[in-house]
Order: sequence, then structure tokens, then C-alpha cells
Amino acid sequence: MSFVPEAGATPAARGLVTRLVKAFRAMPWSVLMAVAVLLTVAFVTIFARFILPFEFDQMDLRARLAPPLPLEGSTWIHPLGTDKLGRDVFSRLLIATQTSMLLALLGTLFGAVLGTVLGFVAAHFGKWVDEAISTLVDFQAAMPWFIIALAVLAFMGNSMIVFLFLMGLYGWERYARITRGLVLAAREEGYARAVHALGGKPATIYLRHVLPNILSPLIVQLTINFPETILFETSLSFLGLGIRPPMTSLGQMLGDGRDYMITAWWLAVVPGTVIFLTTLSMSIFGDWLRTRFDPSLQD
Amino acid sequence: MTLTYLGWKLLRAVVTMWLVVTFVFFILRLTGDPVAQLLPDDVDQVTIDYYRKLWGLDQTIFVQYWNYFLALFQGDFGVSFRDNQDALQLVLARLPKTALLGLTALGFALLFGIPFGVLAALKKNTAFDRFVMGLAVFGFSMPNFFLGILLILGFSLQLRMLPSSGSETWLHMIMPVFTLGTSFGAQVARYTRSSMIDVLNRPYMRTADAKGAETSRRLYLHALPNAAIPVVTIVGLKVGELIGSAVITENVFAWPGIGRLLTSAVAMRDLAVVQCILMMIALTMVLSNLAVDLLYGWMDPRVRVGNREGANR
Amino acid sequence: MSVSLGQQSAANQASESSDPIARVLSVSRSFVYRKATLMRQALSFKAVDTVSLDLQRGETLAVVGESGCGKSTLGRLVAGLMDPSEGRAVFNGTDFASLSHTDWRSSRKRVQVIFQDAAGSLDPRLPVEIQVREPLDLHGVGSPSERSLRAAAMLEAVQLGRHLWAAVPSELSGGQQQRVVIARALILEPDLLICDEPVSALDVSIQAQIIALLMDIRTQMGLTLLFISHDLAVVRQIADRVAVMYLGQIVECGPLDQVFSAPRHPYAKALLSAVPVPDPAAKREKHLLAGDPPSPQTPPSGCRFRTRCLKVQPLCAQREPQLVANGDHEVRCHFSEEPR
Repeated sequence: MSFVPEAGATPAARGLVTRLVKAFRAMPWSVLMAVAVLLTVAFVTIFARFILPFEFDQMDLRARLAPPLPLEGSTWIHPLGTDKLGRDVFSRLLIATQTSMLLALLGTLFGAVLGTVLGFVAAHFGKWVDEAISTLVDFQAAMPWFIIALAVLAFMGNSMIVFLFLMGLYGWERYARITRGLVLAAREEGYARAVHALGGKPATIYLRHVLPNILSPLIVQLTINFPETILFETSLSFLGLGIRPPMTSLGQMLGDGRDYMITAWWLAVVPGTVIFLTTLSMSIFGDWLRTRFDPSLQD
Repeated sequence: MTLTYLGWKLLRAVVTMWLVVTFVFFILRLTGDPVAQLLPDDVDQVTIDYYRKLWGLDQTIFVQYWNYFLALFQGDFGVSFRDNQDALQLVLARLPKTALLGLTALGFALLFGIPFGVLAALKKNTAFDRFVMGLAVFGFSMPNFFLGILLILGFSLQLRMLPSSGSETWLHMIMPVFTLGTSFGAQVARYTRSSMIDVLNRPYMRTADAKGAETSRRLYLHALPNAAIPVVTIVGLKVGELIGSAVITENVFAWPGIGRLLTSAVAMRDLAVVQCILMMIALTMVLSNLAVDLLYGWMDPRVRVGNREGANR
Repeated sequence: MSVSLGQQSAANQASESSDPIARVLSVSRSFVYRKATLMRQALSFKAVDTVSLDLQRGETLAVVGESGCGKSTLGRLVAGLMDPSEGRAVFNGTDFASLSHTDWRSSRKRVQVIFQDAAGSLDPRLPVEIQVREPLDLHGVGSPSERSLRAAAMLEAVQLGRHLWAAVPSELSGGQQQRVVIARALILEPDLLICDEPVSALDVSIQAQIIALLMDIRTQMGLTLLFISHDLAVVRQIADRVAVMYLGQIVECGPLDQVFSAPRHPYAKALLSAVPVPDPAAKREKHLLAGDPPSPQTPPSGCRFRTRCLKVQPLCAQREPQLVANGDHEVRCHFSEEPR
């Protein structure tokens, strides 16, 4: 455990670019690889529509279950092979990645914003507001959200809106808990009291002073939650309860491919590998961020 | 003080259970007629009337709420679609299989996670440490449904060594246990390592180091229980995750436990079974949290005199 | 600001110039040190116990005492940063308790506070120039360009080198940080400045500079100063009047020279005997304080100082002495008139 914050931790208002370059140079090769994977995934998420060789649901029944490239019988037309309906796996993979990443991103951000706001509200109002929010946090932390999600999908029916709602609520309680604790601590700190004594409104104190000062642990939490949200979506879709045909996501593709493990193993392995590489890269990158920017959370 | 601590914990457990029941009660009523939802379509009018009367659907919502509680307390969760069986009986019949899988996986995770975490901490920053921790990152980043599929591809389809589904023999258990336990074991290893390093960095450990190998070896034995305290907490917090993963693992390997029952019940909207499983899991979570809290209080005497704020940590 | 009640405010306005700028009337402030639960009552103690004090315009009043005697709490009460549990805190004729949130915030333009921990009271992330400017932003004083000009002028006034204006607090020394804090407190041109141990965290040589700066600015701006310190050497330089606190109460209060040359309360005598004297030939009685002050949670009966007093009498345990004024010199001791 290091007690000395590294250079990156000093909040000096130095040029962002020089700091980024410095951070980049200090990366170990594993983190560099992780960043490369994440950048690729981000690129695919943004530009999937433009690099798509086929429409993702375009069928070619004469070329069903074609194998991927190095294998015998593969073609350059379908570099990752085709599925049971002769759809191009590469194209499907691009769209599935886009769907899964956008959902995970939206879900993570929604949960982060909701949790952070509720954390501020709990810390600011205290008393019964705090009690109520803390009880909700305890409840959410006590029950596995995956199970709750399954139950809600059963009760409310399997609709896209319910699914999005469940994604958005995933993990909010962690931000709420962290924010509440940090705000309570920051309020005891001199600078928040000092701005209060200068005549600052609570909103000014929270937004201009407290939030920027507690941002780094929240960002660290974001990097922890993002891969978990990916897994949340892909798990539900894998079970056939999240994204369902005609739409596709990485989990849905994997769940689909499961039925062809004997004849066409790549249908499961290709999307599974993408999920694994993404969550792995995010974990490696998140670990690196954490040790670098948040010495208090360091191993 | 110990009593106050225990009291708070019990209160929290009760409040959590109450919230789960309330949640289910309202969500059932949000989505239509609960009797229609909780009973199969082809059930006869006599049964429907029985449950209408039992739950007093003609009465006010508060009376209904109260009666719902009473029914749950008597173990009456409704009737499943399947052979019109009592939902609770159906779930209880599946419980042993899930318990077997879950506890074995937990044991597997602790058996590997703790020793490797301790060794990594003792050999901090060596190649061994990096290797184990690298493996751990792989382990918990690997989605268990994908791990399960890879195992089936390798050991069942390719090597034909292990059965890919069912639960008849101990051979059937190997892959599900590995699938379920890997991610958990990886996390246990990471927490054990960081907690152990934390303890080793405390001043009294450093002093012992300075005094020589004999003293320090003896103190390492003292460091272990101290390092175990945060690990116990984490294990408690992650039991929920383990249950969620079990649902998926049971699906991948067609393991006839509660998780598989849950997904098929969700797919068929067999709500009596779903609500019964939900309550079971809630109870499991509450009890395991309570157990962890008690264990925690027993291991770390400072907690017992702490206030509620401290105890919540 | 003066949105006070009918008769009172008329009376106040008539004689505002001669009225004290700030006064506390029998204020007490309790703190809970054990929260109430279902089964037990909350326990609290009085950090400040029935203190009355007037601050005249333009004067510098020092509050001295050991740590934990309640002097910081008293400062916060006078500043209106804390609500009294009992009694009233009045500023410019207006009770803080009667102010709305908005009025309270605008009252900050007139009352400012400097805390001991300069580093802690600055936002670790923002350049100091921005922070000095911030009070003007908060109260919407002047146009943005005027605010920057005023911030620059203020930073000049506290003699902070121009090359440091864009730095963040962690890049400054303790003395430089305190200069920034002073600049930020004074940019609104307040009437009253409350300094809570402003220099005790600094090196002695830096202390002298900061004190000189404060005295300089005080004259220039016509400030009223409430100076809270445990350091009597510093107090001697800056104060006009001194109030000595012990366990939440004022035990002696009077003009600086009177209290310093002829302290009458045994506690004040003991405190002052530890201060170095300019004239080493001067003979002085040595009073040493034995032990630590008793816990404010369970103050002694009668006179609170009796457990450490050298001249303790049976009466001291039975009756609590009151503050008795002799001219403008007040003392809280049954035996202050006894020959020494």
C-alpha cells in the first residue's frame, strides 16, 4: 500500500494533453492491450453501421452454418462464418456489440447519475430522507439484482421498456452509498464549510466544490460497474429474457449459438470471446485507474 | 452493547424481508388480477374462488396486504402450472440440488482463493504474485455462461471426459462447480491478498519482521485471522452474486435445481413459483448476511461496541 | 440587512454608530456527545455556557484559553455560523436567528471568518485566484471583469507573488495559503473579521508576517476583529481587549494592558505567567497550571477552576462565582479582591 499519491493524483491544473501523454507512457503492456481492445470496441459501437458487410439479419439459406476463416470450407465473404439461417456472423457480431455496449453504457450512466443524485440528497437532507434512501440502498444491496430482474420480467412480462428500466437501476446503490459517505465527509472538510461561511448556496457548494473533489472514486466505481452491467445484460439475453430476436446482442448470439455447439461451435465462441475480452480489458484498465488515481482504494 | 448490535441487525433483516414481500405484493397487483396470475389457466372455478376468498380480493388493499402476509407465513405461495402442484413443495424438492452445487462451489472458491491470496500477499510483487493475480483477473472477468460453454466444448464434446448435463454422479458436478466457483474464487483471492497486505503493513507486523524470522512466523499466524475479517464480509456481500450465477450455471448444465426452475418459471410466467423462489432467496440472503454480521462481530470485538453507523460498514 | 423587528430596529438605527457591531447575549451552545436511542437519553455538554460579550466598532478583541475551552465555538456563534442553544447572537442590531436563508447569506458580506487550517479551508482543486474571486461570484458583486480586477488587487494587498496566482493550494506554503484565505475573507470588505487561531499552524517567523499583515489591513479597512488564540504573545501584539475563557465561561475580561499587567483571576494569572516578558529584569510571580482541565461533560460544582486553583477555598466548591465588573474589567472569582 502506497501512501504517497503519484503525480497523476495531484489535481494541478496542468495541460490535460501532457497529462494524458504521461499517463499513456506509464502504462504497462497489459493495460495498453486493454486500452486497444476498448478503443476497438468503442469504434465498433460508433461505426458498426458503416463497416457492416451484410445487413445483420440478411439470410442466405444456401450458405448455412459456414465455418470461420482458417477452417476448411470458409470463405472471405463470411470471415466469421454464418449461422443457422446463413446470416453473416461478423455483421451480426458488429451489431450485437453495438447493442450490448450501448445498453451497458446507458445502464451504467443512468445508475451512476441516479445513485449520485440520491447520495447527495440523502447527505444533504439527512433525517428521514436519509433513512429512507439508506433503507433502499440496503435493500438493493441485500437482494441479488439479477434475481429481482428475473422476477420483474416474469411479473411485468418481457418487454424492452422493463428491461431498460432494470438495466438503469442496476448498481445505483453503490454510487449512492459512496456519494453519501463522501459528501458527509467533504462537508466536514474545511473547504465546504469555508464556502458556506462565504455565503455560498448548498447547490454551489455541492456542484462547484464537493462533486469535483469526489469525482475520482465515482469514476473508479464506474469502471467496476461497466463490465458488470455488460454481464447483466448478456446473462439475461443469454437466458432469452433480455434482448430477443429479431434484435441481437452478444448474450443473445451466445444463447442462440449454444444449440449448435456440436455442429458449429464458433457461433457461441465468437460472441463469448468478445464479451470476455471486453470485460477483461475493462477490469484491467479499471484496476490501473484505481491504483493510479485513488490511493485510498489501492490494494 | 452486543444486544444493541444484534438488535439492529435483526431489525434490518426483518425490514429487508418486509420490503421484498411488499415489493412482490404491489408488483402483482400492478400487473392485473393476482389470482389469475398465480393460478394456472385451466384450474377449476372452485380453486379460483378459494383463493379469491383466501386473499380477500373484494376487501380493501390493506386487508389484502395483511392476508397476503398471513398466507406467506403459512407457506402458501399459490399453485404452480406444473401438475397443479403446490409451489412451495415444488421449490423445496429442488432445494437440495442447488444447495449442493452452491455450497460445493463456495467451498471450492475458498479452498483455492484463500491460500493463493495469502501466498500472493506474502510474495508480493514477485512473478508468482503477478501470475496469480493475473489469473484472478481472468477468472472474474470470464462470464460464467461462456466458461460453462467452453468447458462443455472441451471436456464433453472434444475429449468426451465429462457429462455435459444432469446431476446423477459426482462427475456431473465437476464442470458446474468449476464454472460457478471460478469467478468467486478469483475475487476471494484478490480480497484475501489485499487484506493480508494491509495487515502485514501494520506497524506491529513490521516490528516483528525487524526482530527476526521466528517472531515474524509466529505473527503471520496472528495476521491470518485479522486478514480474514474483511474477507468474511466480502464473502457475505457476494452471496447474492453467487446465487445469480447459480441460476445461469444450472441453465448451462441442465442442473435440476432452483435456478433452472426459476428461469423456466419466468419464461412460462409461472408466478406462484417465481414469488416462492424470490422469497426463498431473500430469506437466504437475509440469513447469510445475519450470519456474516454475527461472525464479523465475533471476530472483531471493536464492532460490538460500535454504533449503527459502524456496524453497517 | 437590517430587517429587524419594529421598535428595536428604530432604536438600533438611531444609535448605530455607538452600538456594538456584534454582541452575544447569554449564549450557550450544547453538543450531543452520545446520541439518543430507544433505550437511553442523549447526553450533551455545554461548550459555551451563558456568555455575554460586546464587540465595539473598530476594536480588536482577543479570546484566549486552552484548547477545548469553547473559544472557537464562541467565535462561530458571534459569526452566526452556528445557532446558539440558548441566548441571542446579534450583528448590526439584527439577531441571526431572525434571518431568512437569503438574508443570512447576504450577511456574509459583512462578517467573515478565517480558520486555523488554511489548507483545509481551500478547495484543493481550484487555482487560488479563482478562489479569492469566488465570494464576489457568490454574491454577484460587480461585473466579471471587475471581480477579476478586485481579486488581483486583493492578492496584491496580501503580498502573494503574482506567479502563484494560478497555483492550487497544495503548491503553496502554509503562510501563502493563509494569505489566500485572508484575501478571500476580505475581498467582500466585511465589517467584522473573526480569526480562529489564524497563525498557530505556522512557523514563528511566518506568524509574525501574517500578524503584521492583519494589523496593516485592519487599519486600512477599519475592521473590527475578533481574534481567537491560545498564544498570548501573539495576542499582546494585536489586541485592544482580552477575554479569558475556561470551560465554556469567560473568567476575566478587560483592556489588554490591565489584564496582561494585572490579571486578577487565578487562571489568567497562571496563563500569563507563562508568557515571556519584554523586560527580563521584571519580577513576576510564577503560577503553574497543574494537570489537565476537567472534562466539560462533567464540570466541577461551584467554581469551575477550583480543581486546579492554588488558592481554592471551601466556598469555591459551594457557590459558582459570577462575573463582577470593576470599571471595564470583569472577573469571575470569589477572591479576586484578596491581596496578592
